[in-house]
Amino acid sequence: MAATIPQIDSEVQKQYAQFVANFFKSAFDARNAGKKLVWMAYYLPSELCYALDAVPFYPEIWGGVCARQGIVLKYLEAAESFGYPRELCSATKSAAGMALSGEAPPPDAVLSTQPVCDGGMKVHELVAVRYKCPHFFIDVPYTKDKNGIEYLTGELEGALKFLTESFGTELSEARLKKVVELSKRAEELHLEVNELRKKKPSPLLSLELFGQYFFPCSFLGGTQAAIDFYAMVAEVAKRRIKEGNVLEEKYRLLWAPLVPQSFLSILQWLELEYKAKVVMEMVGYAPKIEMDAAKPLESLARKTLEARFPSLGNGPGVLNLDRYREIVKDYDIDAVIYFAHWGCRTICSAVKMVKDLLREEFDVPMLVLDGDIFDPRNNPVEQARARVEEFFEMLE
Amino acid sequence: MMFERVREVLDDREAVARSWKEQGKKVVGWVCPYVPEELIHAADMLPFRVMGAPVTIVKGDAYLYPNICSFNRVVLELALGGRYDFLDGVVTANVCDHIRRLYDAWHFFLDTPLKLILSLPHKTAENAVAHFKDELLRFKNSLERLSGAEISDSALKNSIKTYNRARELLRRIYELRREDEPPISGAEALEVVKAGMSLPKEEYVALLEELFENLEQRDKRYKSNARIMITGSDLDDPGFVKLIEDAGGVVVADDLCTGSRYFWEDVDVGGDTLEALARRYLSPVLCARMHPYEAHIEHIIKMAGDFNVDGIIFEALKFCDIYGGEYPLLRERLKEEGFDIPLLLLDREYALSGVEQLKTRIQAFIESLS
Repeated sequence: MAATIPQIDSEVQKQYAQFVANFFKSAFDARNAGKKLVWMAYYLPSELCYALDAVPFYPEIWGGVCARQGIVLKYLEAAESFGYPRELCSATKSAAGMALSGEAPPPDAVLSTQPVCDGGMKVHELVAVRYKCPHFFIDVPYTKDKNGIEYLTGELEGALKFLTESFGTELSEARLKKVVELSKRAEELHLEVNELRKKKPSPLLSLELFGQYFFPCSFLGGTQAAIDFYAMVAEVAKRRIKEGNVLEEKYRLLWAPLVPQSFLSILQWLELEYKAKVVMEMVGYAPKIEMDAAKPLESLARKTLEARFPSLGNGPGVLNLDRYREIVKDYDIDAVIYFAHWGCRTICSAVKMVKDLLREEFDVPMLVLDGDIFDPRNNPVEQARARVEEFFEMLE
Repeated sequence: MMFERVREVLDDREAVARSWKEQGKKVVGWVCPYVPEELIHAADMLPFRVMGAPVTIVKGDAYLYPNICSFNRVVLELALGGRYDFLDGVVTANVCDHIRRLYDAWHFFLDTPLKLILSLPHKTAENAVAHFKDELLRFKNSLERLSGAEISDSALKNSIKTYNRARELLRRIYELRREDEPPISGAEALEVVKAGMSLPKEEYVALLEELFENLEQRDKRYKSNARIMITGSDLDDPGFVKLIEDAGGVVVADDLCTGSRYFWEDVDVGGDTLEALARRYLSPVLCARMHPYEAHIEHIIKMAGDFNVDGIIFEALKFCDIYGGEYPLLRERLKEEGFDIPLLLLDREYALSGVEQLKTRIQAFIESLS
């Protein structure tokens, strides 16, 4: 099948690393560049900032980078010493710790919301208090119907009004429409990449983009950079298919819903040892979103409500289960690995429902791994690896 | 035997529902006081608060997960065990992560005829009121389909009046707690409010009227140098309050969803009825989930002042992120303003546990106040 194994340090990975570095560098440089910085809850659309030439900073995502660098613990401990419970999600707690330690770039404004969790909602309140900066709460409804879309559209309009008033700037309708047009194009390209991943064997490696597919659309939605990124990935995938340079696969896996950075080594091992390839992730799934630049805020409302991780996001769990059904069918999934992030109530409480559904409707087995997404005190990698090994021995 | 009927109800809450069903009528369970009971009442059904009980959690852990708060796990345990099979419907709102997931599990694993979760805004602005009003219309339509009969506007207005009367009486009873030596303890007050969450409202109003008269005349008084207010997560166990009172304090106020939050504000009976319900139930003082979040904190501080409180006990159910997250904000706010109100944080599980440790901490707190 494959003449050569595509290298892990492929152009996809290199560009992705550069992409992330640029993204956070712009946040740390914002003040010097004379730009306004907005701390955003990670469910919220970055387009709001780009429409105003402001810079978004997603503290929980920066927490992930810190976790990978092995420096997140000090933030978690700072939050716990301040009075946050140890059981609070470590992603959320890292944001609180950053605000308390003052080591993150200070915001000019805070945009918060409830999804993906109550903990995040409360921590962003603290962020605004600590930095004594203006704060706007975007209320995301629990329904995706006409009533819900209208409500969220109004909320996004309120957020833009709040930002323009706080920054003393004016919104350019033309710029907003342009940003939404760019966002729409990135969504289309993301869908194209995911279509390519349906091929057998799937052209992208598990580790190559793992857990990162959602990043450009979610945090750089509305920029040319996101478009360029997905276009590059699509090109690489097509070239590999054409050249037959695709890693062989025996098992097609769905990884749900999140992966801790410390587990990434397991993915490469799975591909090489068991020919088990992650062909889709819950966070990598691209929903079809109705977007129209002529209705920019309604488009952003639709995009927000179709968040890439419904199991973490918003809306009744039945929507989450529908997405599992869709992915298992569309990607011809053989097995699911489910990481139950201990700090997340939503992820953990869906375990039995998802497992029952997969078994009863598709006869697809699911392995559940427990741990914490960021917290090195609760991240048993070796134990997880042993459990994965047992699981695949059973499958074999 | 002033509290005889109250305790009879609490000893067997389901008996009330059983006797209601014997009349051929339906019972609809609600989880969290953000569900406007008035709509259920106007449909001639019994609104019944879904609560927990002191049971060992086994299925609740397996069907949800141990990191869901113990209140929701206990409720699911009871529901899966058949305790809530008598319900014709269960309605909640997207109040918190835990209740959202309880609803998911209930929806997936149980066959209650009507299952509904309302999209409850976190704000009180006009667009939020409009959104919630639409949700209440969806709720009303669901109830009408369940009962097979229309809920008339006049029936709904009458229900609102009945509920407002109960709220007024409860507030009057709470007013008595402002006295230096209140005629009702905190544990008794919790029992009284809790009984109203399963009794038909007409019977409850009559009970409260009698109770209020008796309390005004009551010789027994509760005296203490430590007047306590409780705030925080779901707490429906009078035994927990009794621990505080046995340690020498008297609980004179609360900000709990099984206490004052249940009745603190009326529904306006003039104008559009569903809109009035939407406005009342979106009150920012009702829960720490609401925005602006400062409103709830200010409400706690004001209530502590109004009831001449010496100390606040902040109880947070383990894994409750809303109240776990509100505690540092309240503590900082109290520091900022220089309020001289000591605050004690108690982590707890739904069922009373670790009693000796709790007693020690409460006792030390009360001694520090005295």
